[in-house]
Amino acid sequence: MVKKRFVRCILNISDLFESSTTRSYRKKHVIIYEGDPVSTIFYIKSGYVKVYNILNDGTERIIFIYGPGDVFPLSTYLSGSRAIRYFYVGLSDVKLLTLPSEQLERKIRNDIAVGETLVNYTVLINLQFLERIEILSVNDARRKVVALLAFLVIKIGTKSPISRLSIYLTHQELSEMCGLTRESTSIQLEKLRKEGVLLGKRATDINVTKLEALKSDMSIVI
Amino acid sequence: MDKLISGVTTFMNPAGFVEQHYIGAQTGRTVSTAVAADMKLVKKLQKQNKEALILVDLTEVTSTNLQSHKAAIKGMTIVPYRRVSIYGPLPLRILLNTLGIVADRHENVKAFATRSEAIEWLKKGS
Repeated sequence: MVKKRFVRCILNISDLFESSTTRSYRKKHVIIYEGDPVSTIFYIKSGYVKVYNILNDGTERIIFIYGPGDVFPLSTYLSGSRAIRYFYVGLSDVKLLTLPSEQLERKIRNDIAVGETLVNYTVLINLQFLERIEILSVNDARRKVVALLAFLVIKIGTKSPISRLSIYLTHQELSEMCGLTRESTSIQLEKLRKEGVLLGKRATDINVTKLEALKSDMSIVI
Repeated sequence: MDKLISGVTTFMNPAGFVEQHYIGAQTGRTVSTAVAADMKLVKKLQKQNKEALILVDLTEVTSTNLQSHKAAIKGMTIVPYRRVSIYGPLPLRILLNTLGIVADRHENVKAFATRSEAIEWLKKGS
């Protein structure tokens, strides 16, 4: 029996949330507060969740976005941390499947396929997290905005060649995601619009071919 | 002395812990060898009526594979230790904590960011 489990294919993470309770949150609703214990794991059925911290000067810094199919705060749970390090808030209305951490533990126990799936997923998410944090620390406004757009295409955009972002983000929200003032963000977005990377008045349509070329010129790896 | 490129060194440290340093690419074979070395020292401690506390350094591990994970789970299950305290980078902490859950030993096996955190928790088990 154990052997059979060991050779089982990597499963779909959503399978772990079968018969879980669904919870709905409105946009801007806080789902997890910084400092909360890791007691529940969430699977996003629909909608988007932003992860942010608050800097010493009181400004909000959006570190990450989770979308449909993502699971959080899995990295925190599996890393053995007792408390959550960020705020998790609805970036849109969201529907989440919930699983108490003890139940997830029971599902992982004696099942290496589940363990491997979760570790692989977590490693991927951590890489994206690290890329985001690296970009936030760069002192180049254009680079920050280009890297952010590339991240948004992956997380909330439709497939190329013209990627449409699933949610409308204000310039204020975009500035909080790249660690710039709203004014600097707007200037960079306007430049990208003139270059044909952004299409239309709102920053929701992105020419992926042009964005990829820019990324390559600037050696941005996302 | 030549530096170990890939493998595991196991020894009794002055504080009385079994200490292991994993270096380089880990495979089923390197981890199984390490588990055997653990077992030898843990049995010695048992003969002295002492419980085994194991300190594991993963800071120099470069890669792991499925076979090494299976060997680690087996080791967590068969070696009669009191606690295993691991320290290393985040991806390996996530991996080892998860393997600890798979092995149903996560109360006795924990991974930390630093050596001092790992020793602090290990001492609580003595």
